Amino acid sequence: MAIRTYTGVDVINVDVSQSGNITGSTVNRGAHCSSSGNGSIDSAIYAAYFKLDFTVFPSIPIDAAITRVHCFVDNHQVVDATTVAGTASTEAIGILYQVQLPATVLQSAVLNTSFVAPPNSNQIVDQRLEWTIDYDPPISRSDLMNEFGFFGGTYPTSGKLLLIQPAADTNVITDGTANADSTFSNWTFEVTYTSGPFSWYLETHQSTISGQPATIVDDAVQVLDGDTPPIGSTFYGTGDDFPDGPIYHDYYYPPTGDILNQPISPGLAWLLQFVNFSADLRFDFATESRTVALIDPSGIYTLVEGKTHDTLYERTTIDHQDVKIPDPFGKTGYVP
Amino acid sequence: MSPKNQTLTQHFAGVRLRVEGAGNLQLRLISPSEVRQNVLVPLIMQSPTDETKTKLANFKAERTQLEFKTTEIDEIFSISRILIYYKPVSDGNPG
Repeated sequence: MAIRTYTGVDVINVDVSQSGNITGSTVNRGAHCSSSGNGSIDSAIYAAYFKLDFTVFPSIPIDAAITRVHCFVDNHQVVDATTVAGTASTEAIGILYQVQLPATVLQSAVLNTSFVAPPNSNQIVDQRLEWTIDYDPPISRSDLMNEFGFFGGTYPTSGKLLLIQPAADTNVITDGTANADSTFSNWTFEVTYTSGPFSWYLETHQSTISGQPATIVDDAVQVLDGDTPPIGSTFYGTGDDFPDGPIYHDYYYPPTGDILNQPISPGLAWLLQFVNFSADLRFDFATESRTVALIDPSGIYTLVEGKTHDTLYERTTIDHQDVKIPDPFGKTGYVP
Repeated sequence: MSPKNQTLTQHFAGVRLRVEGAGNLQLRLISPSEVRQNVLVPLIMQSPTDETKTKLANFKAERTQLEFKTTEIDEIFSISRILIYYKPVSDGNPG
């Protein structure tokens, strides 16, 4: 029996310009890191303490329990299936599932994946945190996708772009090698569907950004993959033309330099807060019979002598079907 | 009331048709307003034919009409003569 899964991906970019301990806190955010203390060279420890809060399928009741939550860092599983589990619920509306990754586990994962602390400044450390949610028993595809929203329709308000101020006294985060696209959010959803008529549409929304720095404007957010639907667009189609495989939504700030050249105070981490994304993926399944209305039902009736049946012509395909004349009959008058 | 104006009950004993065609001709005797009916054995048609077919009936009514029809595709009929045999069997219904 197939198990429906949903996979979310959270990409966290940390610009480590100088060694230092980067610890995290859990303030109801996807990730909140700040620099603290002074570290020695090459001793940047990614001792993050993540707490992921997310809502699951907010608009439908789900009878199935979340049995397993897999967490990965760089494709390395760091949390055993039995370690973290969701809460069985008959009503998942608005329920907040919390997954907490122990710091020790995450650290070991980093080591196992040959994580090397950046020896130099201005290097970007990309850590990918993925989680997969399995449902057992499987919930129906329609339940899963009906009015489905990405984690409640809105990505949790969180700081996703972390600009760690170097301890140096420049007051400016120099770009250096960091002048690259800063991906701070990534959504991935993959739909496995079988044959059957259904329609779908995908609607993405423009992100809303507020907070520091004010120079970042909304239109700075772009879609990373050109093949994916751009923000603010609506796409729809039928089952056959639904894209195969996962659809990625990557939002990033283009390397305009506006971010990297903002003066900030030493030791202060800029945390871009209130970055919200929302998208809706809705599936409408054609479970009911459909009525097909003829566009041009009119016709020309021709009497053909000696013809013993009627003929129906289909115009577009120039096909025809012979049918009987509907019970031709005659009646005499009443006698006597 | 003279016997000429009396309402008589007739007994319809059969129909005789001169018909050509193909298929089965469905025959039915119907009382006024189609209150009652007598479905006859279908007449198997031929074309051409030089015969006149008789189908027996057993139907009592004051008046009747004969309905003939085909119900399958490519069945055709051409009737040139219809005879309905009947005789009175009673005079009037008590009011």
